[in-house]
Amino acid sequence: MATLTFPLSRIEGHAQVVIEVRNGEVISAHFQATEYRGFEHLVQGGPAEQMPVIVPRICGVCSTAHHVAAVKTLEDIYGITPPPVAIEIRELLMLGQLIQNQATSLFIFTMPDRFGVASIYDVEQNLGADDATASIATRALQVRQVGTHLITVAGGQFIHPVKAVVGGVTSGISAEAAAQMRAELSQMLPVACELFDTYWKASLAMGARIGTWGDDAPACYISAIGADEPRYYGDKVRQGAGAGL
Amino acid sequence: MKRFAVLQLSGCAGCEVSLINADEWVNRFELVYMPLVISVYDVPEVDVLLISGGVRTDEDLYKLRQAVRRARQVVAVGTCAISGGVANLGDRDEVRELFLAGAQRYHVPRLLPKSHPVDSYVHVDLYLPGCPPTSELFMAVLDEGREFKASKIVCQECGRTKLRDMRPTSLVGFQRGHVLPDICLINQGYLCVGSSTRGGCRAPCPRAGHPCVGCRGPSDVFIEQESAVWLKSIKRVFASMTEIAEQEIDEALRSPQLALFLFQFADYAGGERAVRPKERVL
Repeated sequence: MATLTFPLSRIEGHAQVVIEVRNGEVISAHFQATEYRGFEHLVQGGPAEQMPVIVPRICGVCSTAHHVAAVKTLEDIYGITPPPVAIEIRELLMLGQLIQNQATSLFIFTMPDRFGVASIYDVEQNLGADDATASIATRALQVRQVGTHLITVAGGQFIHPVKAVVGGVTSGISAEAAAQMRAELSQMLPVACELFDTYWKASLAMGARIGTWGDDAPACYISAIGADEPRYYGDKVRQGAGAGL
Repeated sequence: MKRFAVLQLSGCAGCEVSLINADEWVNRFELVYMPLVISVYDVPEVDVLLISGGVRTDEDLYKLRQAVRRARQVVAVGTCAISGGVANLGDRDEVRELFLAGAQRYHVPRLLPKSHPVDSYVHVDLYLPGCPPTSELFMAVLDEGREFKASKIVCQECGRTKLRDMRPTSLVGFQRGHVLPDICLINQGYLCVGSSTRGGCRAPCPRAGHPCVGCRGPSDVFIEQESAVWLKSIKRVFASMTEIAEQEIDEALRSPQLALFLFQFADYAGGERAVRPKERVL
């Protein structure tokens, strides 16, 4: 029996796929996350109010969610409701995270597979620069950037935010910074849409080429909601019906 | 074109994410290895090897030793690569056993007894502290010709005004505090250590109303000395600007959030290891 181990790339963290083969037949295939962070143990006994600064260090890609989750948890324990403007700012923080996270996931992590290249930086080089692929890496990074700028405006620090604290936020957003941010977002929206269309077309082409998108299993989508619309800061989760569910 | 690689050991990838926040290197430098964004399995020959994360497992150690052989310049990036980082919170007496036992429940590489900085094992040419370093700092490393001007300390980059007559008598936490804009956070009773923390980050945290936690480590004045000297200087700042008892400051400085960063250069001065010279720290 042979065991094949493939380290995985274009994910956050360390992981591998282990495949067991006997007589040319696959016996088993496993995905293994091979990094132990242990935050659930290492934060024990530490001052509670420092958690919003410590726990984002779990993951540099989704740190904002950990920052906000820590503050929400503490406020829940202390029985504190932050003022509405603080909630708005935290919602913006989560939206900034959504932009940067989706841009990272779609364009940097999975788009190279659609084009059959090793990284987003190779797309142009390997496929030539037509309208869709011209400066694709730079544009993808610019879309990410607008997300991190929003995180910076709403969260202070750019990767591991600091502004959300028990009871509110440490500062607001000036009218000037808000206007600049709005302009930047509206400038980047068409770029993001165009990149997504490229992603979509490349996905269809990949599906035709290899017979799958890699996500054939029935998917169930959930979203955090407020009263009646998606609110990334919301406490309720709504489930949407996915294919076959 | 300068070729560079990014080796990620045990960490959060925030340093890598900060690097990809900059787009200006894309057409000027060739990124040949960085598992976060490229499917390449081995580090090729490179001009610059950036290493993020601490040496937490035997696998980290193996990868590190393999990688540095192929690099002309080795840069330790971020708190974890410089001190072992946040994983060291698991080394506290009260949680060590629990932390190590936790790892045994998973199918993960064997943990070393402690998270180590990169230069415990290999030679490091340049240190780039920050949790994470800003995109600007990354560019300053890659772009040797670039003129990079940083203030000596975070205080000088913060822009808040220090007041003579606003002297708090005790530290306030955020439960009681209400941060006033434009006024120095020390005047308001927050434990801000920007007065002796290395500049160059442009002070995003204190500008946003959160005290500096010192993630860039000590400024040039303290970097080659033991942590006691750095701690003393912070206490001196509080003694001159506030009426807060020294013991209160002392205890607060040793809390995990600050200790994480305050001691990142400390093991090296007065210990068995060679001091990291300030010329090699950006």
